Amino acid sequence: MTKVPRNFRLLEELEKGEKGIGDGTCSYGLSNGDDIYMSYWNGTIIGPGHTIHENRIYSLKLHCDENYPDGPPTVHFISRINLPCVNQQTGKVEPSKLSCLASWKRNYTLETVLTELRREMANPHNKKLPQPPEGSIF
Amino acid sequence: MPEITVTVKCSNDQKYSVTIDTSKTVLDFKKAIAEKSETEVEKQRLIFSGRVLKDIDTLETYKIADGHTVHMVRGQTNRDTSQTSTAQTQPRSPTTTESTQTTQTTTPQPGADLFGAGAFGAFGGLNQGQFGANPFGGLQNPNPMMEQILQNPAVMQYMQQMLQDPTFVENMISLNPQLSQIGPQLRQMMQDPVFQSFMSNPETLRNMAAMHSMMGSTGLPGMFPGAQGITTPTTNPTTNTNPSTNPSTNPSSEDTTNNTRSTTDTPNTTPASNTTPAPNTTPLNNPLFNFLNLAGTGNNQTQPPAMPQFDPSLFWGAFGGMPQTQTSQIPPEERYQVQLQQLNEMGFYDAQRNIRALQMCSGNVNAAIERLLDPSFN
Repeated sequence: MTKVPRNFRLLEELEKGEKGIGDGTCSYGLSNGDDIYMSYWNGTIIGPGHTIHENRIYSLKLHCDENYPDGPPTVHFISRINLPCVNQQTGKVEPSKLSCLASWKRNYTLETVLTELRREMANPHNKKLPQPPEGSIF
Repeated sequence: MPEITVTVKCSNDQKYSVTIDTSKTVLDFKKAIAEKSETEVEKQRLIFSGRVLKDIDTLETYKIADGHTVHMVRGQTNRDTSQTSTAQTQPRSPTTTESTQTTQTTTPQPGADLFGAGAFGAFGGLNQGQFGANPFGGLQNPNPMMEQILQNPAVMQYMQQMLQDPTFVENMISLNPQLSQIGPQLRQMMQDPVFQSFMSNPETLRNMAAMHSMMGSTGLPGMFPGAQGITTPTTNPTTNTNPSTNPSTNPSSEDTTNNTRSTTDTPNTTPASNTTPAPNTTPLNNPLFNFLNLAGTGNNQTQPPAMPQFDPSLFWGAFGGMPQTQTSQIPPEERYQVQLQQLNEMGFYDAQRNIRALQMCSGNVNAAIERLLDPSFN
Protein backbone atom coordinates (compact mmCIF):
# COMPACT_ATOMS: atom_id res chain seq x y z
CA MET A 1 0.00 0.00 0.00
CA THR A 2 1.32 3.36 -0.96
CA LYS A 3 0.92 6.19 1.48
CA VAL A 4 -0.97 9.21 0.30
CA PRO A 5 1.05 12.28 1.29
CA ARG A 6 -0.56 14.71 3.68
CA ASN A 7 -1.27 17.41 1.15
CA PHE A 8 -2.85 15.18 -1.42
CA ARG A 9 -4.96 13.67 1.22
CA LEU A 10 -6.13 17.03 2.51
CA LEU A 11 -6.78 18.26 -1.02
CA GLU A 12 -8.98 15.25 -1.53
CA GLU A 13 -10.86 16.02 1.63
CA LEU A 14 -11.19 19.67 0.67
CA GLU A 15 -12.71 18.78 -2.66
CA LYS A 16 -15.13 16.40 -1.04
CA GLY A 17 -16.10 19.04 1.50
CA GLU A 18 -16.77 21.66 -1.17
CA LYS A 19 -18.84 19.35 -3.30
CA GLY A 20 -20.84 18.49 -0.23
CA ILE A 21 -20.99 15.11 1.37
CA GLY A 22 -24.13 13.17 1.98
CA ASP A 23 -27.09 15.21 3.12
CA GLY A 24 -25.06 17.94 4.73
CA THR A 25 -25.42 16.74 8.27
CA CYS A 26 -21.68 17.18 8.52
CA SER A 27 -19.75 19.69 6.50
CA TYR A 28 -16.22 20.97 6.53
CA GLY A 29 -13.85 23.24 4.65
CA LEU A 30 -10.71 25.31 5.04
CA SER A 31 -11.03 28.27 7.40
CA ASN A 32 -8.82 30.27 5.16
CA GLY A 33 -8.71 29.43 1.49
CA ASP A 34 -5.19 30.81 1.22
CA ASP A 35 -3.84 28.41 3.81
CA ILE A 36 -1.53 26.42 1.55
CA TYR A 37 -0.70 23.97 4.30
CA MET A 38 -4.37 23.26 4.80
CA SER A 39 -4.01 23.16 8.54
CA TYR A 40 -7.04 25.05 9.81
CA TRP A 41 -10.49 23.78 9.04
CA ASN A 42 -14.04 24.64 9.90
CA GLY A 43 -16.69 22.08 10.41
CA THR A 44 -20.41 22.04 11.08
CA ILE A 45 -22.60 19.33 12.44
CA ILE A 46 -26.36 19.50 12.19
CA GLY A 47 -27.82 18.09 15.35
CA PRO A 48 -29.39 14.68 14.83
CA GLY A 49 -33.17 14.51 14.81
CA HIS A 50 -35.19 13.37 17.82
CA THR A 51 -32.52 14.57 20.20
CA ILE A 52 -32.07 17.76 22.13
CA HIS A 53 -29.67 18.77 19.37
CA GLU A 54 -32.33 18.67 16.67
CA ASN A 55 -32.19 21.66 14.35
CA ARG A 56 -29.10 23.06 15.92
CA ILE A 57 -26.03 23.75 13.89
CA TYR A 58 -22.79 23.26 15.74
CA SER A 59 -19.64 24.92 14.50
CA LEU A 60 -16.25 23.40 15.09
CA LYS A 61 -12.69 24.10 14.23
CA LEU A 62 -10.27 21.39 13.35
CA HIS A 63 -6.52 21.57 13.14
CA CYS A 64 -4.48 19.18 11.05
CA ASP A 65 -0.86 19.42 12.07
CA GLU A 66 2.06 18.14 10.01
CA ASN A 67 1.51 14.63 11.33
CA TYR A 68 -1.92 14.38 9.82
CA PRO A 69 -3.17 11.88 8.65
CA ASP A 70 -0.74 9.73 10.62
CA GLY A 71 -1.93 11.47 13.73
CA PRO A 72 -5.44 12.71 14.53
CA PRO A 73 -6.53 16.32 14.09
CA THR A 74 -7.27 18.42 17.14
CA VAL A 75 -10.92 19.31 17.33
CA HIS A 76 -12.63 22.18 19.15
CA PHE A 77 -16.27 23.04 19.36
CA ILE A 78 -16.94 26.71 18.71
CA SER A 79 -20.62 26.40 19.56
CA ARG A 80 -21.22 25.53 23.16
CA ILE A 81 -22.25 21.95 23.64
CA ASN A 82 -22.67 19.68 26.61
CA LEU A 83 -21.11 16.35 25.70
CA PRO A 84 -18.96 14.09 27.86
CA CYS A 85 -16.11 14.15 25.34
CA VAL A 86 -16.04 17.94 25.13
CA ASN A 87 -14.08 19.99 27.61
CA GLN A 88 -16.61 22.40 29.08
CA GLN A 89 -14.05 25.15 29.60
CA THR A 90 -12.35 25.18 26.23
CA GLY A 91 -14.65 23.28 23.89
CA LYS A 92 -11.85 20.91 23.03
CA VAL A 93 -12.84 17.40 22.13
CA GLU A 94 -10.81 15.21 24.47
CA PRO A 95 -9.00 12.71 22.27
CA SER A 96 -9.10 10.12 25.03
CA LYS A 97 -12.88 10.26 25.15
CA LEU A 98 -13.66 9.94 21.48
CA SER A 99 -12.77 6.53 20.17
CA CYS A 100 -11.86 7.59 16.64
CA LEU A 101 -9.34 10.08 18.01
CA ALA A 102 -8.07 7.76 20.71
CA SER A 103 -7.40 4.94 18.30
CA TRP A 104 -6.72 7.00 15.21
CA LYS A 105 -6.15 5.20 11.95
CA ARG A 106 -4.58 6.63 8.88
CA ASN A 107 -7.63 6.13 6.74
CA TYR A 108 -9.80 8.18 9.07
CA THR A 109 -10.76 11.59 7.78
CA LEU A 110 -12.19 14.79 9.13
CA GLU A 111 -15.51 13.44 8.02
CA THR A 112 -14.97 10.40 10.24
CA VAL A 113 -14.45 12.65 13.22
CA LEU A 114 -17.48 14.81 12.52
CA THR A 115 -19.74 11.83 11.91
CA GLU A 116 -18.58 10.19 15.09
CA LEU A 117 -19.24 13.35 17.05
CA ARG A 118 -22.69 13.48 15.57
CA ARG A 119 -23.25 9.89 16.55
CA GLU A 120 -22.09 10.81 20.02
CA MET A 121 -24.83 13.46 20.15
CA ALA A 122 -27.42 10.89 19.17
CA ASN A 123 -26.11 8.40 21.70
CA PRO A 124 -28.96 7.50 24.07
CA HIS A 125 -26.85 8.60 27.02
CA ASN A 126 -26.22 12.01 25.55
CA LYS A 127 -29.24 12.88 23.49
CA LYS A 128 -31.18 14.32 26.39
CA LEU A 129 -28.34 16.14 28.15
CA PRO A 130 -29.34 19.69 28.94
CA GLN A 131 -27.72 22.01 26.46
CA PRO A 132 -26.63 25.61 26.67
CA PRO A 133 -28.76 28.04 24.65
CA GLU A 134 -28.20 27.78 20.95
CA GLY A 135 -25.71 30.18 19.52
CA SER A 136 -23.58 30.52 22.64
CA ILE A 137 -19.92 29.92 22.03
CA PHE A 138 -16.92 28.69 23.99
CA MET B 1 -18.05 39.43 -11.58
CA PRO B 2 -18.37 35.81 -12.61
CA GLU B 3 -21.65 34.02 -12.57
CA ILE B 4 -21.56 30.65 -10.89
CA THR B 5 -23.95 27.77 -10.64
CA VAL B 6 -24.25 26.26 -7.22
CA THR B 7 -26.14 23.19 -6.15
CA VAL B 8 -28.29 23.65 -3.08
CA LYS B 9 -29.01 20.45 -1.26
CA CYS B 10 -31.78 20.24 1.31
CA SER B 11 -31.95 17.95 4.25
CA ASN B 12 -34.86 16.16 2.58
CA ASP B 13 -32.60 15.26 -0.31
CA GLN B 14 -34.06 17.77 -2.72
CA LYS B 15 -31.65 19.61 -4.93
CA TYR B 16 -31.83 22.95 -6.61
CA SER B 17 -29.46 24.54 -9.02
CA VAL B 18 -29.00 28.26 -8.52
CA THR B 19 -27.01 30.55 -10.77
CA ILE B 20 -25.76 33.68 -9.11
CA ASP B 21 -23.08 36.32 -9.26
CA THR B 22 -20.34 35.84 -6.66
CA SER B 23 -20.46 39.50 -5.66
CA LYS B 24 -24.01 39.01 -4.40
CA THR B 25 -24.63 38.61 -0.72
CA VAL B 26 -25.81 35.50 1.02
CA LEU B 27 -29.17 37.21 1.52
CA ASP B 28 -29.54 37.64 -2.23
CA PHE B 29 -28.59 34.03 -2.63
CA LYS B 30 -31.24 32.99 -0.15
CA LYS B 31 -33.83 35.00 -2.03
CA ALA B 32 -32.86 33.17 -5.20
CA ILE B 33 -33.23 29.87 -3.39
CA ALA B 34 -36.57 30.94 -1.96
CA GLU B 35 -37.92 31.38 -5.49
CA LYS B 36 -37.05 27.83 -6.35
CA SER B 37 -37.62 25.99 -3.13
CA GLU B 38 -40.55 27.80 -1.54
CA THR B 39 -38.61 28.01 1.67
CA GLU B 40 -38.77 31.48 3.12
CA VAL B 41 -35.53 33.35 3.43
CA GLU B 42 -35.94 33.47 7.21
CA LYS B 43 -36.11 29.72 7.46
CA GLN B 44 -33.08 29.00 5.37
CA ARG B 45 -29.85 28.14 7.01
CA LEU B 46 -27.02 27.63 4.60
CA ILE B 47 -23.88 25.69 5.24
CA PHE B 48 -20.84 25.62 3.06
CA SER B 49 -17.47 24.11 3.79
CA GLY B 50 -18.13 23.78 7.46
CA ARG B 51 -19.49 27.26 7.92
CA VAL B 52 -22.88 28.76 8.42
CA LEU B 53 -23.30 31.51 5.87
CA LYS B 54 -24.14 34.94 7.22
CA ASP B 55 -26.63 37.07 5.35
CA ILE B 56 -24.47 40.15 5.04
CA ASP B 57 -21.42 38.44 3.57
CA THR B 58 -20.94 38.01 -0.14
CA LEU B 59 -20.50 34.65 -1.74
CA GLU B 60 -16.92 35.58 -2.55
CA THR B 61 -16.05 35.72 1.12
CA TYR B 62 -16.77 32.06 1.40
CA LYS B 63 -14.97 31.27 -1.83
CA ILE B 64 -17.99 29.54 -3.22
CA ALA B 65 -17.21 28.61 -6.80
CA ASP B 66 -18.90 27.03 -9.76
CA GLY B 67 -20.04 23.48 -9.14
CA HIS B 68 -19.89 23.65 -5.38
CA THR B 69 -22.63 22.40 -3.13
CA VAL B 70 -24.29 24.43 -0.41
CA HIS B 71 -26.40 22.64 2.13
CA MET B 72 -29.65 24.10 3.30
CA VAL B 73 -31.34 23.29 6.54
CA ARG B 74 -34.92 24.33 7.01
CA GLY B 75 -36.36 25.34 10.28
CA GLN B 76 -36.21 27.85 13.08
CA THR B 77 -34.63 31.18 12.64
CA ASN B 78 -31.24 31.48 11.14
CA ARG B 79 -28.33 31.51 13.44
CA ASP B 80 -27.75 35.24 13.42
CA THR B 81 -31.09 35.97 15.01
CA SER B 82 -31.01 33.06 17.36
CA GLN B 83 -27.83 34.42 18.78
CA THR B 84 -29.73 37.36 20.15
CA SER B 85 -32.00 35.01 22.00
CA THR B 86 -29.11 33.90 24.15
CA ALA B 87 -29.17 37.20 25.88
CA GLN B 88 -31.99 36.11 28.06
CA THR B 89 -31.49 38.78 30.68
CA GLN B 90 -32.10 41.57 28.19
CA PRO B 91 -35.47 43.23 28.15
CA ARG B 92 -37.57 41.45 25.62
CA SER B 93 -37.95 44.32 23.27
CA PRO B 94 -37.07 42.58 20.03
CA THR B 95 -40.45 40.96 19.63
CA THR B 96 -39.63 39.76 16.18
CA THR B 97 -36.99 37.51 17.57
CA GLU B 98 -39.43 36.18 20.08
CA SER B 99 -42.07 35.33 17.55
CA THR B 100 -39.68 33.63 15.22
CA GLN B 101 -38.40 31.65 18.11
CA THR B 102 -41.79 30.33 18.99
CA THR B 103 -42.70 29.44 15.46
CA GLN B 104 -39.77 27.20 15.10
CA THR B 105 -40.49 24.13 13.11
CA THR B 106 -38.88 20.81 13.37
CA THR B 107 -37.13 19.29 10.46
CA PRO B 108 -36.22 15.70 11.01
CA GLN B 109 -33.33 14.46 8.97
CA PRO B 110 -34.74 11.36 7.44
CA GLY B 111 -32.42 8.56 6.80
CA ALA B 112 -29.39 10.63 7.54
CA ASP B 113 -27.48 7.72 8.89
CA LEU B 114 -28.94 5.20 6.52
CA PHE B 115 -27.04 6.61 3.64
CA GLY B 116 -23.80 6.58 5.46
CA ALA B 117 -23.31 2.96 4.70
CA GLY B 118 -23.15 3.64 0.99
CA ALA B 119 -24.66 1.88 -1.92
CA PHE B 120 -23.26 -1.52 -1.26
CA GLY B 121 -24.19 -1.40 2.32
CA ALA B 122 -27.67 -0.55 1.26
CA PHE B 123 -27.83 -3.49 -1.08
CA GLY B 124 -26.53 -5.79 1.54
CA GLY B 125 -28.78 -4.31 4.13
CA LEU B 126 -31.77 -5.13 2.07
CA ASN B 127 -31.24 -8.78 2.63
CA GLN B 128 -31.66 -8.52 6.32
CA GLY B 129 -33.08 -5.09 6.78
CA GLN B 130 -36.17 -5.30 4.70
CA PHE B 131 -37.53 -8.31 6.40
CA GLY B 132 -35.34 -8.61 9.39
CA ALA B 133 -36.97 -5.87 11.38
CA ASN B 134 -40.48 -6.88 10.59
CA PRO B 135 -41.02 -9.90 8.45
CA PHE B 136 -44.33 -8.61 7.23
CA GLY B 137 -43.42 -4.99 6.94
CA GLY B 138 -42.99 -5.30 3.24
CA LEU B 139 -46.60 -6.19 2.82
CA GLN B 140 -47.94 -3.11 4.47
CA ASN B 141 -45.58 -0.37 3.59
CA PRO B 142 -44.76 0.61 0.08
CA ASN B 143 -41.28 -0.72 0.60
CA PRO B 144 -39.50 2.30 2.05
CA MET B 145 -36.22 0.49 2.01
CA MET B 146 -36.40 -0.16 -1.68
CA GLU B 147 -37.40 3.40 -2.26
CA GLN B 148 -34.41 4.69 -0.44
CA ILE B 149 -32.16 2.43 -2.35
CA LEU B 150 -33.63 3.53 -5.60
CA GLN B 151 -33.14 7.14 -4.66
CA ASN B 152 -29.60 6.65 -3.60
CA PRO B 153 -27.54 8.34 -6.28
CA ALA B 154 -24.73 5.89 -5.73
CA VAL B 155 -26.99 3.00 -6.61
CA MET B 156 -28.26 4.79 -9.64
CA GLN B 157 -24.76 5.38 -10.79
CA TYR B 158 -23.83 1.82 -10.04
CA MET B 159 -26.69 0.48 -12.08
CA GLN B 160 -25.82 2.64 -15.00
CA GLN B 161 -22.18 1.76 -14.85
CA MET B 162 -22.96 -1.91 -14.74
CA LEU B 163 -25.25 -1.75 -17.69
CA GLN B 164 -22.79 0.26 -19.66
CA ASP B 165 -20.03 -2.20 -19.04
CA PRO B 166 -20.27 -4.76 -21.83
CA THR B 167 -18.25 -7.31 -19.90
CA PHE B 168 -20.68 -7.17 -17.03
CA VAL B 169 -23.60 -7.69 -19.34
CA GLU B 170 -21.77 -10.57 -20.99
CA ASN B 171 -21.01 -12.10 -17.64
CA MET B 172 -24.53 -11.76 -16.42
CA ILE B 173 -25.89 -13.34 -19.54
CA SER B 174 -23.45 -16.21 -19.49
CA LEU B 175 -24.21 -16.93 -15.85
CA ASN B 176 -27.87 -17.34 -16.52
CA PRO B 177 -28.94 -19.94 -18.96
CA GLN B 178 -32.27 -18.22 -19.22
CA LEU B 179 -30.76 -14.95 -20.12
CA SER B 180 -28.33 -16.45 -22.55
CA GLN B 181 -31.20 -18.00 -24.41
CA ILE B 182 -32.61 -14.63 -25.09
CA GLY B 183 -29.25 -13.75 -26.44
CA PRO B 184 -28.71 -10.91 -28.79
CA GLN B 185 -31.94 -9.07 -28.13
CA LEU B 186 -31.17 -8.76 -24.47
CA ARG B 187 -27.74 -7.48 -25.15
CA GLN B 188 -29.15 -4.98 -27.53
CA MET B 189 -31.67 -3.88 -25.01
CA MET B 190 -29.14 -3.52 -22.26
CA GLN B 191 -27.00 -1.32 -24.40
CA ASP B 192 -29.81 0.88 -25.46
CA PRO B 193 -29.19 4.26 -23.82
CA VAL B 194 -32.90 4.84 -23.43
CA PHE B 195 -33.19 1.62 -21.52
CA GLN B 196 -30.20 2.50 -19.41
CA SER B 197 -31.65 5.80 -18.47
CA PHE B 198 -34.80 3.92 -17.58
CA MET B 199 -32.95 1.69 -15.25
CA SER B 200 -31.06 4.45 -13.55
CA ASN B 201 -34.08 6.65 -13.05
CA PRO B 202 -35.58 5.90 -9.65
CA GLU B 203 -38.82 7.57 -10.64
CA THR B 204 -39.36 5.23 -13.54
CA LEU B 205 -38.42 2.20 -11.53
CA ARG B 206 -40.82 3.14 -8.82
CA ASN B 207 -43.61 3.85 -11.21
CA MET B 208 -43.04 0.59 -12.98
CA ALA B 209 -42.94 -1.28 -9.75
CA ALA B 210 -46.21 0.29 -8.73
CA MET B 211 -47.79 -0.39 -12.07
CA HIS B 212 -46.47 -3.87 -12.07
CA SER B 213 -48.05 -4.61 -8.76
CA MET B 214 -51.28 -2.95 -9.77
CA MET B 215 -51.67 -4.97 -12.89
CA GLY B 216 -50.54 -8.12 -11.30
CA SER B 217 -48.33 -10.13 -13.53
CA THR B 218 -49.80 -9.49 -16.89
CA GLY B 219 -46.32 -8.61 -17.83
CA LEU B 220 -46.90 -5.25 -19.40
CA PRO B 221 -45.39 -6.16 -22.68
CA GLY B 222 -43.78 -3.26 -24.37
CA MET B 223 -43.02 -1.35 -21.22
CA PHE B 224 -39.47 -1.12 -22.28
CA PRO B 225 -38.52 0.07 -25.67
CA GLY B 226 -37.26 -2.94 -27.50
CA ALA B 227 -38.59 -5.30 -24.93
CA GLN B 228 -41.18 -6.79 -27.24
CA GLY B 229 -38.54 -8.99 -28.72
CA ILE B 230 -37.93 -10.54 -25.36
CA THR B 231 -41.27 -12.25 -25.13
CA THR B 232 -39.89 -15.38 -26.64
CA PRO B 233 -40.66 -18.53 -24.75
CA THR B 234 -37.92 -19.69 -22.48
CA THR B 235 -37.75 -22.55 -20.11
CA ASN B 236 -38.21 -21.70 -16.52
CA PRO B 237 -36.60 -24.13 -14.13
CA THR B 238 -39.28 -24.43 -11.51
CA THR B 239 -38.55 -26.98 -8.90
CA ASN B 240 -41.26 -29.29 -7.84
CA THR B 241 -41.17 -31.17 -4.62
CA ASN B 242 -44.67 -32.53 -4.53
CA PRO B 243 -44.18 -36.07 -3.33
CA SER B 244 -47.55 -37.12 -4.68
CA THR B 245 -47.97 -38.20 -8.23
CA ASN B 246 -50.97 -36.10 -9.01
CA PRO B 247 -50.07 -33.29 -11.31
CA SER B 248 -49.94 -30.19 -9.25
CA THR B 249 -51.67 -27.25 -10.72
CA ASN B 250 -49.24 -24.76 -11.98
CA PRO B 251 -49.49 -21.67 -9.84
CA SER B 252 -49.38 -19.43 -12.84
CA SER B 253 -52.16 -21.10 -14.72
CA GLU B 254 -54.42 -18.18 -14.03
CA ASP B 255 -52.21 -16.00 -16.06
CA THR B 256 -54.24 -14.79 -18.96
CA THR B 257 -51.33 -14.04 -21.16
CA ASN B 258 -50.05 -17.54 -21.47
CA ASN B 259 -52.83 -19.76 -22.64
CA THR B 260 -50.67 -21.91 -24.77
CA ARG B 261 -48.30 -22.90 -22.05
CA SER B 262 -48.04 -26.58 -21.34
CA THR B 263 -47.01 -27.75 -17.94
CA THR B 264 -45.30 -30.98 -17.22
CA ASP B 265 -44.81 -31.90 -13.64
CA THR B 266 -42.26 -34.37 -12.53
CA PRO B 267 -43.12 -36.26 -9.39
CA ASN B 268 -40.27 -36.35 -6.96
CA THR B 269 -39.68 -38.57 -4.02
CA THR B 270 -36.15 -37.89 -2.93
CA PRO B 271 -35.05 -34.48 -1.89
CA ALA B 272 -31.75 -34.92 -3.66
CA SER B 273 -33.36 -35.05 -7.05
CA ASN B 274 -35.54 -32.10 -6.34
CA THR B 275 -33.93 -29.81 -8.75
CA THR B 276 -35.17 -31.51 -11.86
CA PRO B 277 -36.42 -28.65 -13.87
CA ALA B 278 -39.96 -29.01 -14.94
CA PRO B 279 -40.20 -27.86 -18.51
CA ASN B 280 -42.32 -24.86 -18.19
CA THR B 281 -42.56 -22.77 -21.25
CA THR B 282 -43.58 -19.45 -19.93
CA PRO B 283 -42.88 -16.34 -21.82
CA LEU B 284 -40.29 -14.54 -19.84
CA ASN B 285 -41.77 -11.15 -20.26
CA ASN B 286 -38.87 -9.14 -19.20
CA PRO B 287 -35.94 -10.19 -17.12
CA LEU B 288 -35.85 -6.87 -15.43
CA PHE B 289 -39.18 -7.43 -13.84
CA ASN B 290 -37.45 -10.05 -11.87
CA PHE B 291 -35.50 -7.32 -10.27
CA LEU B 292 -38.48 -5.08 -9.99
CA ASN B 293 -40.55 -7.84 -8.62
CA LEU B 294 -38.84 -7.28 -5.36
CA ALA B 295 -40.21 -3.80 -5.23
CA GLY B 296 -43.50 -4.65 -6.80
CA THR B 297 -44.57 -7.59 -4.77
CA GLY B 298 -43.68 -5.92 -1.56
CA ASN B 299 -46.73 -3.73 -1.49
CA ASN B 300 -49.07 -6.09 -3.18
CA GLN B 301 -50.85 -8.69 -1.19
CA THR B 302 -53.38 -9.53 -3.80
CA GLN B 303 -51.03 -10.42 -6.53
CA PRO B 304 -52.28 -13.42 -8.43
CA PRO B 305 -50.32 -16.56 -7.71
CA ALA B 306 -48.49 -16.25 -10.96
CA MET B 307 -45.49 -14.96 -9.16
CA PRO B 308 -43.16 -17.87 -9.66
CA GLN B 309 -43.17 -16.99 -13.30
CA PHE B 310 -40.87 -14.11 -12.53
CA ASP B 311 -37.93 -15.46 -10.79
CA PRO B 312 -36.30 -12.69 -8.77
CA SER B 313 -33.31 -14.83 -8.17
CA LEU B 314 -32.51 -14.56 -11.81
CA PHE B 315 -31.42 -11.06 -11.38
CA TRP B 316 -30.15 -11.27 -7.88
CA GLY B 317 -28.30 -14.33 -8.85
CA ALA B 318 -26.75 -12.43 -11.68
CA PHE B 319 -25.71 -9.61 -9.42
CA GLY B 320 -24.20 -11.88 -6.92
CA GLY B 321 -22.74 -14.08 -9.58
CA MET B 322 -24.24 -17.16 -8.00
CA PRO B 323 -23.87 -20.17 -10.17
CA GLN B 324 -27.25 -21.67 -10.82
CA THR B 325 -26.10 -24.87 -12.38
CA GLN B 326 -24.23 -27.97 -11.33
CA THR B 327 -25.11 -27.63 -7.70
CA SER B 328 -27.68 -30.35 -7.47
CA GLN B 329 -25.17 -32.94 -6.31
CA ILE B 330 -24.89 -31.35 -2.91
CA PRO B 331 -27.98 -31.88 -0.77
CA PRO B 332 -29.98 -28.69 -0.42
CA GLU B 333 -29.79 -28.74 3.36
CA GLU B 334 -26.07 -28.45 3.08
CA ARG B 335 -25.98 -26.13 0.15
CA TYR B 336 -28.32 -23.62 1.74
CA GLN B 337 -27.17 -24.06 5.28
CA VAL B 338 -26.46 -20.39 5.86
CA GLN B 339 -29.66 -19.26 4.21
CA LEU B 340 -31.72 -21.78 6.15
CA GLN B 341 -30.27 -20.51 9.35
CA GLN B 342 -31.12 -16.97 8.35
CA LEU B 343 -34.67 -17.95 7.55
CA ASN B 344 -34.93 -19.73 10.85
CA GLU B 345 -33.79 -16.66 12.68
CA MET B 346 -36.42 -14.66 10.90
CA GLY B 347 -39.12 -16.98 12.12
CA PHE B 348 -39.61 -19.33 9.20
CA TYR B 349 -39.45 -22.67 10.94
CA ASP B 350 -40.76 -25.06 8.32
CA ALA B 351 -37.50 -26.51 7.04
CA GLN B 352 -39.02 -28.33 4.09
CA ARG B 353 -40.81 -25.25 2.96
CA ASN B 354 -37.72 -23.17 3.41
CA ILE B 355 -35.63 -25.51 1.34
CA ARG B 356 -38.20 -25.54 -1.39
CA ALA B 357 -38.37 -21.78 -1.48
CA LEU B 358 -34.60 -21.48 -1.49
CA GLN B 359 -34.29 -23.95 -4.29
CA MET B 360 -36.76 -22.05 -6.37
CA CYS B 361 -34.79 -18.93 -5.77
CA SER B 362 -31.35 -20.44 -6.13
CA GLY B 363 -30.52 -19.69 -2.56
CA ASN B 364 -31.53 -16.07 -2.56
CA VAL B 365 -32.90 -15.46 0.91
CA ASN B 366 -34.73 -12.34 -0.05
CA ALA B 367 -36.56 -13.92 -2.91
CA ALA B 368 -37.21 -17.01 -0.84
CA ILE B 369 -38.91 -14.96 1.83
CA GLU B 370 -41.14 -13.48 -0.76
CA ARG B 371 -42.17 -16.95 -1.82
CA LEU B 372 -42.71 -18.02 1.74
CA LEU B 373 -44.97 -15.07 2.33
CA ASP B 374 -46.90 -15.68 -0.83
CA PRO B 375 -50.21 -17.27 0.17
CA SER B 376 -50.19 -19.45 -2.91
CA PHE B 377 -46.91 -21.06 -2.00
CA ASN B 378 -47.19 -24.24 -0.03
